Amino acid sequence: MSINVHTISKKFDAFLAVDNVSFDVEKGELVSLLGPSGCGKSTILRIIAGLEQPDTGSVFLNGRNVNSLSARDRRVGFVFQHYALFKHMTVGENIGFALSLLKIPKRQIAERVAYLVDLVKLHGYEKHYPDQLSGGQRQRVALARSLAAEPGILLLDEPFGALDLKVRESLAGWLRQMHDKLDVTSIFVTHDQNEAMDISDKIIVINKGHIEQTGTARRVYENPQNKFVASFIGNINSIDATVRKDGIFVKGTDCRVGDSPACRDAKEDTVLLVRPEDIVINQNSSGLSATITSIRYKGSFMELGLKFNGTIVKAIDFSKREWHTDQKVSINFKMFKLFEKPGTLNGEIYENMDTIYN
Amino acid sequence: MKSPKSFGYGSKKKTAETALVTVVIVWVCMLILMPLYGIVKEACTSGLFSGLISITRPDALHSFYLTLMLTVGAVVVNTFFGIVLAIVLVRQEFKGKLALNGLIDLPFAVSPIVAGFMFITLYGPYGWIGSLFEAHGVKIIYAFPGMMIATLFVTFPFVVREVVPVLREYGVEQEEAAFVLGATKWQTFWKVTLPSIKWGLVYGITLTVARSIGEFGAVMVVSGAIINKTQTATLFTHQQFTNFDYSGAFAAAVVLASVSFITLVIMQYIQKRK
Repeated sequence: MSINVHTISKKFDAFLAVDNVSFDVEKGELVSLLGPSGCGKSTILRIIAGLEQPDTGSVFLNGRNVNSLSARDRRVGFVFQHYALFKHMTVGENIGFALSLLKIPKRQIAERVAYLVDLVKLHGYEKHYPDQLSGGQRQRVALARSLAAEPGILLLDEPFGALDLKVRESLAGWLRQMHDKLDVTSIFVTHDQNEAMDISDKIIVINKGHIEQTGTARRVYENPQNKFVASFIGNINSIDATVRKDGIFVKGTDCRVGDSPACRDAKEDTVLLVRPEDIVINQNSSGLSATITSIRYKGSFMELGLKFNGTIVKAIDFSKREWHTDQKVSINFKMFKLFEKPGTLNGEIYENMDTIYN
Repeated sequence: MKSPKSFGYGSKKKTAETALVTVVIVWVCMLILMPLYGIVKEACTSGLFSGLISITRPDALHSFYLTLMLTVGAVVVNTFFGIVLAIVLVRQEFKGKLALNGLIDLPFAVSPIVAGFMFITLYGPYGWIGSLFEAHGVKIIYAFPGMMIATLFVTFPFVVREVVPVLREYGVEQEEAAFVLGATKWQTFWKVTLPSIKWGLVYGITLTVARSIGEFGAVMVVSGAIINKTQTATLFTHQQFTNFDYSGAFAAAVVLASVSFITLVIMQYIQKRK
């Protein structure tokens, strides 16, 4: 089933939770709604499921407007953040719940439950109660339960939010496999950018109730449309800069970080965004001179704090050379984004981006 | 080398714990077990046989029957309204919710005798509502309907007060899950909500039963305690006592106490099994 969300808005009292949101999900896609907590992503998911009514706008499932359809008639699988398992029912009864509501022979239900138990690898736990399971097992029961009636759409509300990192990672990978195997259309809500990048075909970045950017993981990481996306997905350093005819400079200094873009006029107030991995550190003196302020050993790489001209940036170094604090080094920005400040309009959203390669 | 003195602290702690447990046990014995033993012993010494005769007389049997009817009525009505009220209080937002929440506890706060008088002024033959019924030949006060109303009043808070916290803790997620899985509101209530609040409900019903059996003041006022007509088992016990029929009074008291005791035991047993 395809999903089309068309200009939906939702207010809770005076708070605008969802602000004119539209997006499409193709049949068989796995899409993430990614954003900080309270950004409205769960509300969007609940509107699609029919658990909330939008104030304006429509939801189309397979091209059909389902606004007037209640949650129970939408045939949507929904996985809740805190599992929402029926505590007084066994694993088997939980999974078979949707089928037990239909007039289906007991034997047929048992077969389907057995298949799903197998699918989520919970063999031998059919008679257990949710209290007797670990968090990861409970989440798998919740997933199996939502799949029981063969929904065309699977909606997952931060399904791994309450789990340990290790369990979360393995479950996320497993969910992707499951999605491909069942050929169901899925929307996955998360605030964890790694999770979103890991498993989704497409990421929809949401902030304060509206969509900031839509695209593949690669696209939103490498070509963020604004500062919010750039800083929410991955780490990024933000430096105030000035564009002059002879180059781009750290604001208020003669510290030149790159050539000025050809088509751009001189501009006093711009912002330069550079990923930690795009900062190259040298021991010779070609580049900006900087001082190491902190060193963190992270296993496969090192994270260095670098101070130049009063600004501190974070850099990632994969060479793992022996650095020490207060060491003088020189740095280059391999690649960075240059945003114009939009003035007083909105302090957070920067537009008119240029990508500068050195 | 200094040896640690922890054993000294440990034994002191142990003494304190033993003392605490002893105090609690003695207190419970004095307050609850000894009186219970007292009525059983009195029932035995004041004549088991005459006691038995007293409580199998038609008027005694009628009083037990009346108590049974009032208890069943209170359980049925309070279970229904208790659940509805609890759901409304937890799930609904409306003006006057706080006031309603406070009103529910009123029967706990008002003296049962006072409650009885309230009902007489309202439902009595010259009362505001009572006179209307009287015109159609229906008696409320000094009859079963009045006693039922009085019993409902004093037992009203138990189910609500036990179910509300359970319902609040359990939230709406499970119900939403049932709904998305295709359950109707009715199916959701029977298959998901009710099983989840079951233990709170059982406890509330137990307290309702115990209070219905034991209610004295309010029922006394509205019933007039007419022998063979409006006398409940508790009123019968009281009457035998004031009539110097000690063997009958104690025998009836033992029966009432036993029923309450058995109710509590059954509840403990059910709760253990969960």
